[in-house]
Amino acid sequence: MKISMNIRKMRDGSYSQFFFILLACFSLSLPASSQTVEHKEIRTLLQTKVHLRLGETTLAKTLQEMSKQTGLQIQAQDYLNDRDILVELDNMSVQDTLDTLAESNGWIWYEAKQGQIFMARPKFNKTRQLLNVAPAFRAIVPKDLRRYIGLDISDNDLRIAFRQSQPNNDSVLKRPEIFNSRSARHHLQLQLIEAPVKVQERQMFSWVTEDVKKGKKIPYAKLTSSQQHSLLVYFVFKALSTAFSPHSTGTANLIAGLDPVGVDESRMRISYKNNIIYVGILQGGKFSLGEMIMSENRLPDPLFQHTKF
Amino acid sequence: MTNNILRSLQQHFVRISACLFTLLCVFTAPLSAQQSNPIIGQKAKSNSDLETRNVDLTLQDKPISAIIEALSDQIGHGIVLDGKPLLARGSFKLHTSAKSALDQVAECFDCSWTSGKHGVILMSKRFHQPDDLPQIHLKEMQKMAADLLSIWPEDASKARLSHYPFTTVRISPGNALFRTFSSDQVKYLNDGHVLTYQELTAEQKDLIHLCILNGASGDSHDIWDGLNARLAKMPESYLQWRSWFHNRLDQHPTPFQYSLEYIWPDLQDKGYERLLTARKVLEATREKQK
Repeated sequence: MKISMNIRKMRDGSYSQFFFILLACFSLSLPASSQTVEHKEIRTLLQTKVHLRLGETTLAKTLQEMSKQTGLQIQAQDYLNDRDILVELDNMSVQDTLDTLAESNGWIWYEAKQGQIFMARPKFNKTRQLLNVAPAFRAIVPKDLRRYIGLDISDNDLRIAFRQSQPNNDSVLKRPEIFNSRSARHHLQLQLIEAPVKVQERQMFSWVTEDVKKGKKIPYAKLTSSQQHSLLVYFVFKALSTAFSPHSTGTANLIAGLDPVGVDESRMRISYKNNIIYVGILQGGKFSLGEMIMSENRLPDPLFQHTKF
Repeated sequence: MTNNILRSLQQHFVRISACLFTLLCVFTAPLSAQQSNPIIGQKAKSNSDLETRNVDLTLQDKPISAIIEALSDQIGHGIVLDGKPLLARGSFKLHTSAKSALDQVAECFDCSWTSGKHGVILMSKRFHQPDDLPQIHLKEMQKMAADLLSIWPEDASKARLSHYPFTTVRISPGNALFRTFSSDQVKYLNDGHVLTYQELTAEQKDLIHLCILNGASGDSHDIWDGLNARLAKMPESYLQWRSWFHNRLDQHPTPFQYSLEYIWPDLQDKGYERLLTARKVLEATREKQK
């Protein structure tokens, strides 16, 4: 009886639902990359087998070799050209090779125009919404850098990285609460992020020769490639360590990947009580005064208090 | 009754099968058009053989590329690695399963490995070695800094300047937010009402975002703005040993206070960052002499 009732229900129009569910399942099962290639002849060329026993190389050289072997125009976006990779692939289709390189590094590839394939970083939502910040941050920061700063890695990997980089500071890890507290994980990550800044600073001491002290300008182009790299590493990690400082807890949470700063703005309410502006979040139909973000004080150094949402 | 049910089931089975067949046709049509491409639609190459396949590899002081090449040949899977490991060479004597061989080679070069969706072994650097760094390339970092700045709430600079009492100073986003409220908004709030996010101006929305991203007293916009400014014109920048207050016209150079500065061309050509102070250099020299 139940069966016939269910079947009757189906007859009443749930065929279309069934159809759509199936449609969704099938579309999900298709490889994402094949959906980005519009032209049939390009799709065919993408099945050409390539031989890439390249060893240590760069992304630009790898894609150049693939172009040479297939006749397709395969390029990386300008900013990815210098990425070092090691490639040992043989008898694999171009499509699978592109998928593999993208998967390994967190990139995407797409057909820009007919016959022109591009490797790039994932696209991110540029809408200025708090909810977009965390996923966009992950898309923008390269995968290996994210791993280095301890974002998206397990507690155990973070523990090992910390122990290796700071063998004399091992006692920190013995504290039982170390991974139960957000601030403790911050502490470990911050130490890892600050380490390269200190290393580069130490290297810079040797740059200050008697000749340099005469005050002559030293153009960037005149620096050795190692000095140029040191300078770049110094600025990148200094910015990350500042972003990770306790003075910037919202951003630090974002980098730690623990407490997303994303807030659903449609639930945000602003109130004013006892000369204080509050930003609260509507939860379960109730409005909770969540965070005092500002006092009425008009002096340049206002009273400012941060409490978690 | 039972007959009815059975008949009904039969009819629906036929309809569902027809449905499935149509779907199958729709989805396999573009795939079958690529007759020369038998790989599309196939399942990912299986990696179950990694447990059973044996590796017999003896390599003495070989570069990593030679080791990976030999390993790839023996395990029958392609390998890619994201970057250059700190250790450039290695020696191995492996008589074990493919999985164990991968574990040992990855461990030696401070990497982890996983199997990709097409059966390729994806090796990633773990950064357990203290001196190992991720890849930092100028163009990529310039792009990263510019993009981070583009998603960050805007610095509402007009609201963030206070003319107190003699000089113009920057104020925190929280304070700036307060100043952006119109008298109508203040009155409305004073009457005990609450404003929704949608009722705020674009400037107020950005300031609230900035408050949340800043947390206590930081200025997160400044971080990415500063990084972007430093990197955007790096090739045109220069280093110089300068006396302090070099950039401030109202100050005389302070005697004996020097530092190594990084100067980048910004709009006013006054962007600079103090890298090392003379005092730090002196301390470092003394330490080295000891």
